[in-house]
Amino acid sequence: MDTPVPDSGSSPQLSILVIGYQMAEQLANTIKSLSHDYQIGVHATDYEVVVIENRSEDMLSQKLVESLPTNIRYYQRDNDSSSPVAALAEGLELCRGHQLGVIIDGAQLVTPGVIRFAKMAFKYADDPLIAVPGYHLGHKMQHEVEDAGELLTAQREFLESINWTESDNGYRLFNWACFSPANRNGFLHPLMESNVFFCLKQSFIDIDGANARFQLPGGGAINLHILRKLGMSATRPLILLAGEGTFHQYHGGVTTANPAEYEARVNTFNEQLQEIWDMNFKALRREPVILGQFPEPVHAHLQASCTTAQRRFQRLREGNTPLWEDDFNLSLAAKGVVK
Amino acid sequence: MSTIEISIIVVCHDMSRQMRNTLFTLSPEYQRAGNEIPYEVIIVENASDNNLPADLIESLPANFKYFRREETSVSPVAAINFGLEQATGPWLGLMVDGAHMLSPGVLHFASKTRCMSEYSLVTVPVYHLGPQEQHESAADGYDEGRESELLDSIDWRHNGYALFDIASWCGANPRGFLAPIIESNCFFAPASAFNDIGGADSRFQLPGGGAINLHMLRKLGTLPGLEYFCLGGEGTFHQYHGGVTSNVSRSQLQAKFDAQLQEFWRGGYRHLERNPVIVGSFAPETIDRLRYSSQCMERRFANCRKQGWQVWPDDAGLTQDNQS
Repeated sequence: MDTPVPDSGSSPQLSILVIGYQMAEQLANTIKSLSHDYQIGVHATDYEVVVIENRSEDMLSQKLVESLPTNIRYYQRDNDSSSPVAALAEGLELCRGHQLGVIIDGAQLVTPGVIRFAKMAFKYADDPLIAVPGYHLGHKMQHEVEDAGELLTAQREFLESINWTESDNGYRLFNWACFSPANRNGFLHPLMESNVFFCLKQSFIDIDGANARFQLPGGGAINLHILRKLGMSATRPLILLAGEGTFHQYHGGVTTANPAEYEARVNTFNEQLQEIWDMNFKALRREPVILGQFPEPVHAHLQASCTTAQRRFQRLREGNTPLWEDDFNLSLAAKGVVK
Repeated sequence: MSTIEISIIVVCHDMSRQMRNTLFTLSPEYQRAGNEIPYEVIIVENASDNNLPADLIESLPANFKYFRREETSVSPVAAINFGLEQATGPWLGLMVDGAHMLSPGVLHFASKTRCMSEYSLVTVPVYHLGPQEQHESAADGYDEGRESELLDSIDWRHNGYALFDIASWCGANPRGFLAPIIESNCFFAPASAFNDIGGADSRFQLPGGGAINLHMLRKLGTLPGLEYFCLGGEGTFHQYHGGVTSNVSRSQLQAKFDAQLQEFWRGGYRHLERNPVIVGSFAPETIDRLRYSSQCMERRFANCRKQGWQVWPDDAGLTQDNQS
């Protein structure tokens, strides 16, 4: 791996690992959204960002790499697979913090409070799982959009129009966004995935987070797998930064490009996931602890989440089903009851 | 039990029925993970003809301490300060009016918030039991009997969140808990912060202490460096007790309370306008409250923008500490 760093030398508590491939424009935005001059209430010395870029014809420019802040370290590597798993494993080795944030898809922009509240959440419990709700930029989920060129143009225009890199403006990303397919019912429903999540580095290692079986393009459903693996521990509370978000930028990636092939591709991913979970994979049914503030643009999404959550609660109560089934089962297991 | 981390001070006077319920909601049996939280409850009762009965006092959990004191004033401020002196924990919770029952996650999430930020103010939103705020529902015949029936209609001892189903928004927080709240009847802060504001100001000698609660909340909330949290999924639930602000002569008293409060703050008193960090889980019974709070806050954002006002002036540091 080449290392045209800069390296700050000191060892922060928190490392955020970002994997990118063939998405220079989007990855540059994501990195910007992780910088300390965009993130609110944190200093560069509070965390580091480790960027791993798998080589392609659409790489970050040398100029941009050289201009990165000292707490952002950049590496590029050749990848002999279409999966990011090897990059994830190698990147993990480079993370010096004992707290870890992971962005497997480098196209995920984040809001300005993500790092501040993630750091706060690490104090909530010794071993937390911290998730951020996921959105797609645009009013329609990106795999449903037929004209990719039009979407790319609209995306560029929107980002420019809100001047998103200026401090609080990052929350305006909510104004042109919809819930991602994995969390289409909002963030008070069980989470299927989080595209930016945080946990202890050791916890990630313990669950074999960079599981080499996930060799499908883009890693297939590895993100879903990791969230559930981490979440299925009774001693690891799920903390949701509900007033924050990650926003997938369209880049012609694995699950958002080519709508005609979307269903087949997602089916392949799900088949692998169910195989690994003995046909028992589900969204994580654990009651989240909500942490954070709610800026103006998030309220529409909060109210939508309330509506769907209420419907779900009503349905489950009518069926006499536990509202948070994984909490219920983990609690039984802790008492030695095998279901 | 290890060293006490949180001391909760509950002040009461002439409300034995209500206190029986309140104290149950403070017990380790009722509070989520209550046995894992090193806390104590300091009960300070100003004596009356309706004191806590001996059987209740004898059955209190081991982490509860009961003090009965004679008081000639109609104000609880001396009782509050007495309670502050008895507290042994480094972090304090204050309930000026013992008629407030709690939801089951208050202590758990307060304790967790302390882990995240020791130098913080943590508030719990206020509700009134009954179909309306009690000074209004009393006019329609709501009384202690009705309230007992209402409480008996839900299994609140096993699911305290059911209290939300029989409660109404309180005038202290008419726009929910995401917009600025005027008052909290259960709030937490470090003992050092209570010390820094001088405890309960003994000049608040009006019945019930007048607006002492609002005064203390703003005093604490404007301490430099203190972070501000709200347990949005929890609540305190005021039980009817013919107390100072829940029935007749309310408007006259309220005017006196307000006048006194204004005297204490140079430029006039304003409630605390800080952006709360929300902590907690949201039980099904609370989702309506969350949505309503969100709708109100959305309107506040729009209104502030239209008027050119700061949404959170106390956070922005635009409001100088105007306390006299």
